[in-house]
Amino acid sequence: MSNSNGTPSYGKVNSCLTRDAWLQLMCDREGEGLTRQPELQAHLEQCQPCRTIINDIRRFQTMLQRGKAPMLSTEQRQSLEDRVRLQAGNWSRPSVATPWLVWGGALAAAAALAWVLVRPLAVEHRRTNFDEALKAATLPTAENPGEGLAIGAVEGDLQVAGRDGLWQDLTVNGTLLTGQRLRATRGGRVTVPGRFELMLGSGSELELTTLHDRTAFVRLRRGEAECEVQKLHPGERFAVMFGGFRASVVGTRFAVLHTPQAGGVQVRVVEGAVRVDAADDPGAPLGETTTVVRAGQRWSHSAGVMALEPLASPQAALPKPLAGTETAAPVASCETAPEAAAAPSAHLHSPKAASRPAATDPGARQIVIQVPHQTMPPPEKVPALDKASAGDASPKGR
Amino acid sequence: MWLSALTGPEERGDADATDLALVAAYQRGNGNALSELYRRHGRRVESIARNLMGQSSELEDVVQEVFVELQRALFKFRGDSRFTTWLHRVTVNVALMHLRTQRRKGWLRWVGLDQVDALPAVVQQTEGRLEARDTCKQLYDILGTLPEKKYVVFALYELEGMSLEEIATTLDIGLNTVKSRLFHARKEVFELAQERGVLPPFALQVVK
Repeated sequence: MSNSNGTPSYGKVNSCLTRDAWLQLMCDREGEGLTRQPELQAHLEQCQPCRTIINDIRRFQTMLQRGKAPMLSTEQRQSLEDRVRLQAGNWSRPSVATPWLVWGGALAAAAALAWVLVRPLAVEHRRTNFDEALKAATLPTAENPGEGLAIGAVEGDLQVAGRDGLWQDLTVNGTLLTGQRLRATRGGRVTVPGRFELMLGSGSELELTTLHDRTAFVRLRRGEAECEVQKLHPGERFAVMFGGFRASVVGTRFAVLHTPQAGGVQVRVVEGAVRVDAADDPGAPLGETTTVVRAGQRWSHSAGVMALEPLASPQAALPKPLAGTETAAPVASCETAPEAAAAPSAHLHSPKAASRPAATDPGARQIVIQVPHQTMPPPEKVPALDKASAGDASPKGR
Repeated sequence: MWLSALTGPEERGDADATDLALVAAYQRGNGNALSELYRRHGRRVESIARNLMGQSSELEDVVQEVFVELQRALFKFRGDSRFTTWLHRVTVNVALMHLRTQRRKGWLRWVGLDQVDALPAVVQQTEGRLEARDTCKQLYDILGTLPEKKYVVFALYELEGMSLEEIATTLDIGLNTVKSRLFHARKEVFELAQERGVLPPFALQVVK
């Protein structure tokens, strides 16, 4: 019984066991004894296929025993024993750290590492907070106006009102404080030496929202105003809020004129550049609608339409004479602004006078902003102004 | 000393107690206890590793590594099982680890006959030994075709001579699982040996 390969093939022949059964039987250790049982012996004597199977299985078992790998030699074994003995001499107790100790140590190490990494940031944050707190403590407010800015010169009939709402004449020896309001019945000008000049037209009023050694923010409540700002140094800011917009200038000397005009607001720039954006907060970041108006351009906003167009002529950008100031007489002179002190009334009375600083200073710039009365807040939203204006027809002495 | 008392013949229970005493001694810092454990069980460890790995030049290293592992793990041994069972399990694991490494790296576990011819004449053994070596190589070539689970059971039963119960305990598997793996392994090895003509020509006489 052999297949095509000559390999013997076994099957169940009559009552014979199959090859697998013989294999299982013979290979179990008690199987060899079974073959000595009389009935199996008798069967094997008569059955040649089964004898062949048994023969092959025994050859297989012999092969397994002969195929065993050799044991180590005596020398190898002695060498191995020496190695183990040497290894046994290096007895050391392994770490007996409990799991919670291991995890606790790992967490503590991670926390220490995190602290080392985050601490500089925390210190920086604390320092930043300290700086901000210091700045907030030193920045003047209406409640804590600080020392204010000394007035160098006052012209016209300017009046000033503090938190109490009482209007008083502005004098040359006074100071301008954060939160104060200025108004002019017929027109006037105040000079802060080295910083700026503010000229108010008749019936105009502005609020000094922030006055600081490096920051000056004013809000034109109504009327018209002209500002001459000295050259700004790095970190200094000057901005005028008007009708929901903000005109902030970064550069050298410039002038701002705010006059009423129907049909929206206008910014006319004669020299330099001014940045206009829709922001009511002077400290707000630049908005997406920031427009840079350069010399010789006019920016206007009317009925939701914004336009930037060239000026017809530079003279068109100059402010008109302030109404009602023809008879205004200067009440004080400015020692630190010689050009203004030399001809203060002319400066207020004529466009040429308004542009005189630019003419005398090569770096001077003039910017004209016109805002109609329609864009001003309604009178009921500024009760203090109305109240003060109605009940204080005549200026009070200081 | 107490070590000298271990050299005499012992019953199984006494042997287990002695092993536990040696383990406890090692845990207390007596390094000589490990040497004594090697003296008592080194031969068996070598035999198990040899039958699992076949003829290998790494046999010494494997035996030593078993005792290195033993040294590391001896502090965790609490006597929940017999020491020998635990030791045999460690031996099987270390040997299998070496086999896997060899297979992964494709190393030759054997010195091929073509290489034997190149050996100096004084090194070459007698024809009978070369024939035995050839048989051994062919056998482990066949065993190498088996899956690892069947391979281990076959080698431990047929070559190492462990009982089925001992294999089940050592490998921590059921007795029927051992029987099943052994049957299939035996069948596959037998068929492969016939196919490859490995069965030796000096077969026993046909039973009359």
